[in-house]
Amino acid sequence: MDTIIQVEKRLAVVTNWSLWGSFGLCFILSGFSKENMIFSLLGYSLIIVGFSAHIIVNRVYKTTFSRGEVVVGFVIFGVSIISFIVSWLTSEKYANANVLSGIIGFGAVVLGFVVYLVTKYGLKGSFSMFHEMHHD
Amino acid sequence: MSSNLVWLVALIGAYWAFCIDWGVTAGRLSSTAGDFHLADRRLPPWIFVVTATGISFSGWTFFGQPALIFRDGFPFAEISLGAVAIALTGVVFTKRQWLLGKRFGYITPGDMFADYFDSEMLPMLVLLVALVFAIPFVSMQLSAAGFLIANLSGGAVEPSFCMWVMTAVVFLYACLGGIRGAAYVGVLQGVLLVAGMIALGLFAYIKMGGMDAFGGALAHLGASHAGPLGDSTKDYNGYFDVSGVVQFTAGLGRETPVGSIWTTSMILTYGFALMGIQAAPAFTMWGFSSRTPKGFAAQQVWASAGVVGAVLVIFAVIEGMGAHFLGGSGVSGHAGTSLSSWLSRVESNNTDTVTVSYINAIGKQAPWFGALIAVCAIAAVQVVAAAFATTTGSMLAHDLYRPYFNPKASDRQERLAARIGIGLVLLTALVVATYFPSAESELGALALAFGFQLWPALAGICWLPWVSRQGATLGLIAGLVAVVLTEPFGHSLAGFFGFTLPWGRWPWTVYSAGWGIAANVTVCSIVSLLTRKSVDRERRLTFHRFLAGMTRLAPEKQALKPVAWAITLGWLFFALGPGAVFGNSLFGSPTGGLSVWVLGVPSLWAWQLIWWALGIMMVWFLAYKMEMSTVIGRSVEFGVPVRSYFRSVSDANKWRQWLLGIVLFGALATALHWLFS
Repeated sequence: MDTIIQVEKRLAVVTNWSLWGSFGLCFILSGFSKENMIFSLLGYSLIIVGFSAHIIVNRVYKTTFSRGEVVVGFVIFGVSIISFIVSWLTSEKYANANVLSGIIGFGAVVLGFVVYLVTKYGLKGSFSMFHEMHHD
Repeated sequence: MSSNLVWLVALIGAYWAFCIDWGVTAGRLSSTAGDFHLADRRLPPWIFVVTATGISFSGWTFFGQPALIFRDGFPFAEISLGAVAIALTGVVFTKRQWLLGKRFGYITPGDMFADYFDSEMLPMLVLLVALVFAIPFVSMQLSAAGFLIANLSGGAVEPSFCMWVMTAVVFLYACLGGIRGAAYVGVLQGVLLVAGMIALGLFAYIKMGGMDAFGGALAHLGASHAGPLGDSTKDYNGYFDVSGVVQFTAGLGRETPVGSIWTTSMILTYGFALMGIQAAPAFTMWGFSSRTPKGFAAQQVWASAGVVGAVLVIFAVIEGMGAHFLGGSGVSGHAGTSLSSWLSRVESNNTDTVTVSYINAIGKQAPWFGALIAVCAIAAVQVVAAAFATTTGSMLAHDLYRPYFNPKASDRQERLAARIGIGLVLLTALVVATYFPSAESELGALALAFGFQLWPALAGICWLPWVSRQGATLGLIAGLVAVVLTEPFGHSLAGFFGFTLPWGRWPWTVYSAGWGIAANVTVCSIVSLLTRKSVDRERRLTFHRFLAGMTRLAPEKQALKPVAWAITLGWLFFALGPGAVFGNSLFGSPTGGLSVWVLGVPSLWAWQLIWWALGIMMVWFLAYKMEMSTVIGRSVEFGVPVRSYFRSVSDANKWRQWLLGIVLFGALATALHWLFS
């Protein structure tokens, strides 16, 4: 069973993503449906804010991303990016504003993640970490 | 199924799954009655900060604040400064109550009142206040949320069905996790409340076309005589002018004040009522549950006065006044005041529908956003329902069941009694909301004013050793009676006994909390003076010596005490009190428009923004600089067992008979009232 501290950390993480994730997602959906780049980019910004807040929570509780958090994160990111690419390729009416905001938004999220890894583990350490995870 | 309904069901479902999941998690961590009642006094500061803020503001802010600003304009918006006043109560009491709770092992406020005043009656009165606060307060908010979901579903579900399901979810997680469950779920609910209100304000702002358009529309409205309030005492539009310091009217229902009801006397005394939220018994238990006092100052200064203050002073005003210009009222028929017809017309007899109207309009354009903000509204209601149900359930178990009915109750039996108590509180609130809407509004009017009546007794415990048991008890009774007599409930009661009160509701434009506290303080002071007993006082002084030892100020800060008093009284005078009338035209005449308004907004709004900022500084000064809410350097010896409520078994029996007699009398009177009215 988790200790109270572990439970509280999980609560902070879940609450953080419930707030920033839900509002971010709603802004991205609004941006794509109205072909409004400002809304979409605002949504991606909120996702990055959520990611930053998650790092702060980790710092406060002196932990790092758990294996579960990493898996959920990659799955959601993967599904989102595949949905974006499929929509772009299959929809004839897909607006340029949406394509641009999707590329900028997903690019910013990836960049944020890479900056985090490099800042925390260094360039070499980041690659080594993936290497170790692969062997695990 | 419409896309609105699909999003609504999906997001509400996800949110409720979150609630139940965290209720189960909290339940796994609770193994004793102490765990259930107070989370084993181990709630971390950040959870206290977010949850206590959610509880302090809840659905009444989400639905009520924009609605009343819409109805009564900028004079009511002065009440937004209540965010600072609420924090002020926390500054005065929370840390000292926490210290006493930890040192003497109190579980409920009843324990504290019984022990400090050596009283058997005060815990019962405190329980009464807790019940009268919790049931109608929860009931009113459930009604608003039920109406919201029914409305958003396009009539697919009944409001009462929504209320019952919503309450069932609260019951489930509150029963499973006790106060810890309510706190864990309350974290998300607190942040959603704030985020939802900001989002609503932003939508209104965007739909109006920005500040220039909003300011222009306000200028046109200010120059007109539009609106149901008519003109104020100075012939300004009633939406823009506090109608004097006081109006000696006989009270609503007998004599209508000129302009709006919002004189500064009404604003100040309504502000008092809001100060009752953090003086309410339920809030005392939230304070007891905290691991350390570390979160108190942050909650009061940054979360309450800062963040929620900004939400109320800025976003709620944009939402409330903006509704006039977005098609929500007939005002938009006047030249220059119609910016859009985005909102549907708000029902004149139910202004709570302002927020519902916004969410509906948002949902039509972006169903996912409409559903998300609806979840924010539900969260705002459920945070308070769970918080008050768990604490009141615990009080019923610990202050009523254990001492009166089963003094040898095991830990398990006490937890079961608390769960039954939670069920009873929620069920009663639900039944009142579903079947007795008129009783709901009559009782709801008492809630906040009742909470504030605990101020003198709490002041006695935390600060003033001269307040005697008799003074606190009789003062509290006098205060509660005065509140009842200046509210519709008192008129109904008087009518039941066959006579008519010679005044209406809120005579002299003074809110019932004001009449209550005047009676309370007068009686409490006189009786305390007459019942001075050196033995009793010496006993009470032991508590105050402990508090003085734990909260001693450094010598250089002692000199700041007069400054602290001056700042606090000055802020109350100008922000909520008589000085607020200066705000009517200090920054430009309400009729002058943008060219005259010094800060580009109506003078009264500018006044509110300035006093909100000064209010944050004031609370910061008191909480941090004067160390009224900060961490203490000394450790607190914990857990001297709380004394038994009763001196002997015969005392307990005597009180039990009185209690049963009162319950039977109440039941009989209610039955007769229903039969013959």
